Amino acid sequence: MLTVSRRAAVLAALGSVALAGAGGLGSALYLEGPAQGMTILNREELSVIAALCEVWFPAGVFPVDGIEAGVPAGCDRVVQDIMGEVQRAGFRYVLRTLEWSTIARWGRRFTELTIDERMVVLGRWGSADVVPRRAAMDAVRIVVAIPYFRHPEVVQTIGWRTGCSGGAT
Amino acid sequence: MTTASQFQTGRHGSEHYGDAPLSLHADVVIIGAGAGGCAAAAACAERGAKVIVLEEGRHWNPADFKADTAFALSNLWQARGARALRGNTVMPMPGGRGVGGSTLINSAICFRCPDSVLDEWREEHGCHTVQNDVFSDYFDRVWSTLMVTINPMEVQRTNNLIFREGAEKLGLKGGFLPRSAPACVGCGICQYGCPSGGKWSADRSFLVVAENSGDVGVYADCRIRGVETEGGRIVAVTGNVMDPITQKPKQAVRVTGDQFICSGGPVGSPLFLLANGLADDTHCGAHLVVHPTVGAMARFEQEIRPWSGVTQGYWVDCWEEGFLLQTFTCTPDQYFSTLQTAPGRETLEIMRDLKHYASAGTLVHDEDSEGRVRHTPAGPDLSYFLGDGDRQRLIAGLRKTAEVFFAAGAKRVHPMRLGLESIDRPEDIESGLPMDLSPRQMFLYASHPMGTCRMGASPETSVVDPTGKVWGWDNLRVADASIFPTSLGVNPQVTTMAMALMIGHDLMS
Repeated sequence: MLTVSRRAAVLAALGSVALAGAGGLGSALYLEGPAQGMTILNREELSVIAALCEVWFPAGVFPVDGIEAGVPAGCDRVVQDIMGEVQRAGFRYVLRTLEWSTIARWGRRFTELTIDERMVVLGRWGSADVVPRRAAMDAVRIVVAIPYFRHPEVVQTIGWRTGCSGGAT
Repeated sequence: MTTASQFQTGRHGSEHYGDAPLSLHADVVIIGAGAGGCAAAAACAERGAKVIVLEEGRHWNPADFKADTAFALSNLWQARGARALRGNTVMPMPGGRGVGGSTLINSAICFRCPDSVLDEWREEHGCHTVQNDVFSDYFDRVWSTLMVTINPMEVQRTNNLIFREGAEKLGLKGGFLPRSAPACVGCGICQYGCPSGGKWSADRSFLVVAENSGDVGVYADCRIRGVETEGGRIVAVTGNVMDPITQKPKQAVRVTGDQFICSGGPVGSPLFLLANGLADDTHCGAHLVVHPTVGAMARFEQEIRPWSGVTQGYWVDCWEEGFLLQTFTCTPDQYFSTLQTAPGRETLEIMRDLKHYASAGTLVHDEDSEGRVRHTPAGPDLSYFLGDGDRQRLIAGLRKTAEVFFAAGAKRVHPMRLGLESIDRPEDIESGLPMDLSPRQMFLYASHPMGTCRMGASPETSVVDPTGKVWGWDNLRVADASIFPTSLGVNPQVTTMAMALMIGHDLMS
């Protein structure tokens, strides 16, 4: 039977954390410019948002899924519109941290995980254990939700409209 | 174009200022055009003062507002919606930005300050000016200026009516909320600015009174950061014109005056005083209190269409238990952000089904929580630690909210509790919401910050005296919710305005 000593486990864990840290730091230090057609977000950040869309806005519930609704590009506009420079930097840092945080446990980046694995990761980020991590995830969730829930086909399916025109019910 | 040293009545913005430094003078200079600043302007103007109101944000018209979260966050909300309290949990703390302040984005709910709170301020904090009969007159004045009314049934609509049904079945005391929105048509998006113009926000009520009373100039897009002093008096306030689009500072602003009123709100006012050495941090910035809130969504067989109707129209009075229940509605992206169901298909199916959901929550009269506002090298730091009693009141309020929904016929309730997807039967409310839930296990909001420049009888215990004057300064007062010695337990705009009227009249006397 394969046994793993406590020392080996600790070393492996530390090595994984160091690898994730190095990846995150490298990613943070080497900030690729905006992806083609975008004003803020780069390819790596857009791919993280696309991976989030596959979890949060899967196909088959609304007429369009998150990718079809153009959420990654929509997030680029939202980030440009609603965030100052400090907030933008923080938001992008959270995306890159999410991308690299899975190395230690899964051996792969967030975008390389299966959808079920990503759901586990997001469940941990959204849990009450680490308040700043949860707050960061809440912020990402609202930014990603804005472009999806203003897509005309999503709005129409929900039936949402302001009550200004009166007697909606 | 406004040129140097030319005071002009009316409303001005960056588009009127040109490129030259802005230099102005008035009898009374008010920093901040929210509930307090606008009411103080009215009080001073009607007693004959020439008044300048300076506001960091811009002027808004109802036609400018959109039912769009990104637009509201970037234009109408303080810190672009990112303002939050940190402590034993993280709580977003919305605040408005622009001429009108937080009344631009509130739900127009009006309560008079409970007598018991005024009694406490007078008897335990030495606020001798807070006499119930005097304030009764001020509350009447606010009530009539805001044209406070209960909106008719046809604009309340189902999200409010279904909650009333549940409350009545349980025999709970409640009613439709008095609101400063006499022409409300039930858009359901108060928090994004009132697009119909039906809400009498401060810029459309007290500021109009001020302008009609005398010489009042409202200068938007002016961020005030500094002061010039001479002895124990303020001589001028200084800052910059702000580009309303980029939020970058432009040319300098300097405004001299005889009297100054700081109405920057419970975050802005203490930061201004602290940054300029006008008060020390023993009490200034301390004693931050808020109304912690938490909500729930409930599914009904019938269509509710929660987005239609008065944003917050019905309330249940649980004052004796330390909380109120109030209905609310919001936009789909905000509902999505609060759902605690499993990410993916399950949550999205609830969103597709949103027309069958109602929403309401509880607002707690915080009694044992405390926070602080302070400067740090990284910027303003807002901390808040939810006390155990307030935590229990939140859970009790959330339980009661669920009870009302089930009494109204809800099939399922989704409380904003992390790790709990739904409560499917009334008998599961207590186990789903145990009294040992920690603050971080709830999705909390902080409404109505108060108390960071509290009023009192002595500089040993407070920041301002009972007339709102900052201890140690002859001609500087604070007029906003920061001067409340304690939390109110009810929505604060009426009390803020009444206090500001009192302070303005006292100043002019």
